[in-house]
Amino acid sequence: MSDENTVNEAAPASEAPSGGAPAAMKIDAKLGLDVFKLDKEPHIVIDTEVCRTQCVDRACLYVCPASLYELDDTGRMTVNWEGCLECGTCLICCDKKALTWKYPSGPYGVQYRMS
Amino acid sequence: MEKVECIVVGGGLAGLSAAYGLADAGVEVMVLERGDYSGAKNVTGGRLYTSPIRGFYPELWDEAPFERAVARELVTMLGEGAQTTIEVAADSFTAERPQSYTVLRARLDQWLAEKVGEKGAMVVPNMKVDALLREEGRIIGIRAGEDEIGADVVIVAEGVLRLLSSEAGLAAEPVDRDHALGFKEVIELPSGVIEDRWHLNPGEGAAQLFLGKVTLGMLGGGFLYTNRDSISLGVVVGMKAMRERAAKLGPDAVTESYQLLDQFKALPQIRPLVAGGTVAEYSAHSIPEGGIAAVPKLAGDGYVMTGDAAGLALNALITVRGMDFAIASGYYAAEAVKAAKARGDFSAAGLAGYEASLRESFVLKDLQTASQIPAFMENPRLFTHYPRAVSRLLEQVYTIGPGPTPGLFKTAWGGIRRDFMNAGTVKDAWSARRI
Repeated sequence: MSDENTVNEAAPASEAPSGGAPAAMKIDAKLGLDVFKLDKEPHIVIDTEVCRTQCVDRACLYVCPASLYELDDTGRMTVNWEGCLECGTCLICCDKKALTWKYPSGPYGVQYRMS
Repeated sequence: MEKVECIVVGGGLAGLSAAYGLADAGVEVMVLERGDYSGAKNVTGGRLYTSPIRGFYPELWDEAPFERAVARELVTMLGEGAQTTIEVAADSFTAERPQSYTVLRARLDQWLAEKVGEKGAMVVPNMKVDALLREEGRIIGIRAGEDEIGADVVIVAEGVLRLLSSEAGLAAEPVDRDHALGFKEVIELPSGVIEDRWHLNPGEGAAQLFLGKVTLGMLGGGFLYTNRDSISLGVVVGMKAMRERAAKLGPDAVTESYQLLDQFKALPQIRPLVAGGTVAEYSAHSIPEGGIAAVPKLAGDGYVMTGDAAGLALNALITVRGMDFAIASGYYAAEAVKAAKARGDFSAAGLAGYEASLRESFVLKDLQTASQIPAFMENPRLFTHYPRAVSRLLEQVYTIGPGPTPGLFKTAWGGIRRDFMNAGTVKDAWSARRI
């Protein structure tokens, strides 16, 4: 018996909803519902040399629940830290220690109204 | 350096619980919270089991702004083309004192922060602590920006990532093996619709967990909690499980974590439950799931560790706890600090009562009882084979085809032999005896 599942692997759910389901909200639209107070400087800094030379796993690309990590045109790791939910999953999963990850300072970052 | 008797780092449930007890006893206490308000950085699934904590600060809980008293417990096993839901409703769940409530943290934590303030503690929002100050092995205060504040004792309630305590060498950095990612949408629905959909009396709530399919075989599952006029719909998935799956499939083929919730929400079993709802918030948090083996040293010279920062949480597959542990650990931290103050000894020896009382209480007792659960839950069959097998068995039992139907016993026994009597399941049953 396979451990895998029949749910479509490659295509995002937003493109391949099963059985006529309404299209899923885009992740950016979800983040748009949250209250963010933008810090003046990033609270996540990537040592991209470590990513480039030491990391094959690139867990940050798929573990982040806000999908903030991307490779740019030159293959360099980037993070859209402005939409960070501050869960720290990327930090915990980055065992190459490429991230300098702090909470946003003072009044900044996500401010949950409900959760 | 300015100095107070006690600094609490983090104004969540653990820190506020500690501050409440200390302020009530006249201890000078300052709570430093990095959010705009308590709860601004917190996420629950969620449900708070109140039975374990009723005895702590009993005057508080009757007026707490909980969402709904959980009257119905549901667990849904999602198979292939068939699903099974077990629903349990017991009078005792919602007797005069309900055993658990659904909660939203922004509401609950702000309320508790107000109560702490009324007791005379200072709760300072928008104050991120940057470091714990250490001198000759002893924690002597904190640094926030340019400011240093000294304290006889620091109560570390900084949450699951424990950035400060690991930096100060008090605890190890969190690792993927011991943590899960939880994320959810809060979806607004009128309270009457919620009560109709889950068959609830006014004020009562449902807690529904989903196993199988949701996490594509990875440790974890889906959850749904009914709040007053919203539901919390989300997914929990083990961090190590995500990485192992990516190692197997290749990172490019893997599903991004956030898509698990979109796929879950799009399932035909979930769509009618969320129909007509409006997504109001999207949130995520790390969850300690390492069990007792991952609990760090709980106290030392000048400090104690509480709540998520101390790894005090327990995912036992169908019951998920953490906030009750946080409140209890805060209570016992306050008791220990009061005793230390009376003796004028805030050393590790002076604060040793903290760990002793946690060991005597449900907090470490329940974590000890569940010591085999983290290993047990690493078994992927829990999230693949069993939800499918249970649903397939019951599907066959309930099926009437066009031809003759075999007897009930023969059908059931055939299904049990096929899916529940092989080397793997016998081994699972053997390891399950210890959970």
